Amino acid sequence: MMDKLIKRLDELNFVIGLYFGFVSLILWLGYFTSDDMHRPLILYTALTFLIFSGFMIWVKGIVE
Amino acid sequence: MTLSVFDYLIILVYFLFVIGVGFIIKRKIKSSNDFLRQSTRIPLWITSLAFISANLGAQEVLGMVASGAKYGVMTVHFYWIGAIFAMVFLGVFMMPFYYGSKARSVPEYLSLRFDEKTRGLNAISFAVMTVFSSGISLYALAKLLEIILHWDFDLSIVVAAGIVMAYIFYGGLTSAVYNEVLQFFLIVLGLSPLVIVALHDVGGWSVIKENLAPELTHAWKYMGTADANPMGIHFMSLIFGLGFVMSFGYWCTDFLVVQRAMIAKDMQAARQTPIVAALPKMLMPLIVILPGLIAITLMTPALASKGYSIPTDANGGLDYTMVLPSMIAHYYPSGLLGLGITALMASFMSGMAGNVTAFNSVFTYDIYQAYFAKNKSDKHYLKVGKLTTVVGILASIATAYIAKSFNNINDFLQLVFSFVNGPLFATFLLGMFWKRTTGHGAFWGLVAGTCAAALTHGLTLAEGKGAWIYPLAEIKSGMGQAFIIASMAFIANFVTTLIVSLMTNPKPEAELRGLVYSLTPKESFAKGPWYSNPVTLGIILLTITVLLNILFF
Repeated sequence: MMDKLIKRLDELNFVIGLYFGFVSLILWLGYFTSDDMHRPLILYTALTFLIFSGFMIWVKGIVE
Repeated sequence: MTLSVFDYLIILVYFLFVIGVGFIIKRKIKSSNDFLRQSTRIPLWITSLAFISANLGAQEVLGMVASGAKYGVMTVHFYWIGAIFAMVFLGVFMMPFYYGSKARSVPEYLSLRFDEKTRGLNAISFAVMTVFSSGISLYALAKLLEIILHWDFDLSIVVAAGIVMAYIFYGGLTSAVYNEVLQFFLIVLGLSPLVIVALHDVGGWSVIKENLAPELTHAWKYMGTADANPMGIHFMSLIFGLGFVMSFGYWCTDFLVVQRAMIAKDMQAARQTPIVAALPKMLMPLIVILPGLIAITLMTPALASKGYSIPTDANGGLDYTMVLPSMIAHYYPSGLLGLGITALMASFMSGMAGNVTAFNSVFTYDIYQAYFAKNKSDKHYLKVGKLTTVVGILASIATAYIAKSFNNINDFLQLVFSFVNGPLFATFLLGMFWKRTTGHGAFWGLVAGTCAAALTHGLTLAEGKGAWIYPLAEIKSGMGQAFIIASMAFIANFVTTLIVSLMTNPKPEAELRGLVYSLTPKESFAKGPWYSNPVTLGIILLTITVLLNILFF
């Protein structure tokens, strides 16, 4: 499992997916602790990033 | 603007990832070619996104938002007239010579096509420009962080330069290219929520059109006379100055962007790189011009209740450069601010890294190896390449401090760009498409073009700048002046190269195969699918570009 993960670090799309996954996680944390009136914007952004992250991690055909 | 712990976390994760990419690539760096060119077979989607990301620096992001607020929809000309046509031309006509000649850089192509003196002139002027450009990016980033976050200027310089140095030093060009792709997604996805929420807040495109003066919402309608539009430019000046000379001069000859296509895995991918890149480039106005238009709409009396205003400068005028940071501060809540700041940082770092990697290659291959140490081992050139990274970053830091001392250094740099890039396209156009062009013609053409640019600047006055010889003519805007300077430089270079070439002996045809259009076998794409053919893709893109121009006429 760990070997597979390390091997996939060579794929740029995987690294990008991982990055946006982390950012999404931070945004979720920010959303749950924020009382700002603009909270929904954080939620929608976190959700979009999560979907993008999942796509970049899942897709394999765009790398060599 | 106050950042929360989550904002700082987003910035920290970004720093860790860009350096991490450098470490991942480090394992593959074994030769100077791995470091200065590519250490792996880089696929098309990466070279294409890196191609536009290398141009997505501070000037592009902050500058285009500022221009969107100042000049309105006319700013799209920098994309739909000033980029797409040249990118398609590069892919269809010029890449076969750059890639097919096996040159490692644009100056090296000049050496193969012409001679060493033309290469030397281009390499030195390009190396100086990239260091200055990189330093300006660094200065602008530190200044921005100082103004909006009250971070220490010196510390911001050291941290930003240190991070860029780390990932280039370890991973070379491949690391810079990989990070440019990450930065591209970060810029686009980090600024998209701003565009959506601000557009919703202002009431949509129809409200923008209702509230703004008509000359701010049309691209071409008010260009019949220079006085009728905010840019102060006649459409003929725009088409020739921006659409032909400046655009083709930059996109087709500037090694900073061409390098991204030159490292593609094969000829087909190299030709497709600028063409595929043209598609997202065409849509970039949504991210970088629309916020400017929204900002200026929010300043109209009908929308004053929204509570947004563009910051003012020391003289009380609108500080358009601060439009994007002020909109991020206005619309992004705590927890999302870090994303906006990281997107801005990504644009600055992407611009800086692009310049440093181009400087590395040109210095090592075209200056050091060509003139100082011809037959050394590959290990030696790898060391020099790495050392050049450190020197390039240190020189950028020094330039950033020079920029701090002289508040008009960015204007000066733009001027130098129009002096150097303006005439360069004439050299390539004649060199690639007229086999009679000689090395002497190319060299003296470049010298004459640069002198013509300086002369035009010295005789014209725009917004208080120029006319250091004599104020012969006054031009409404600095942008109009830049177009005229570039046009004069191009014409002077073209005519001089033509005349000198006719008076001197050309290279034998056998030495020009693969370097000149008429002496190079044409590649056939008849067997492949339509989407692999650069010509078909180019025609589709140009058709969409024409339609967009009609839509926003």
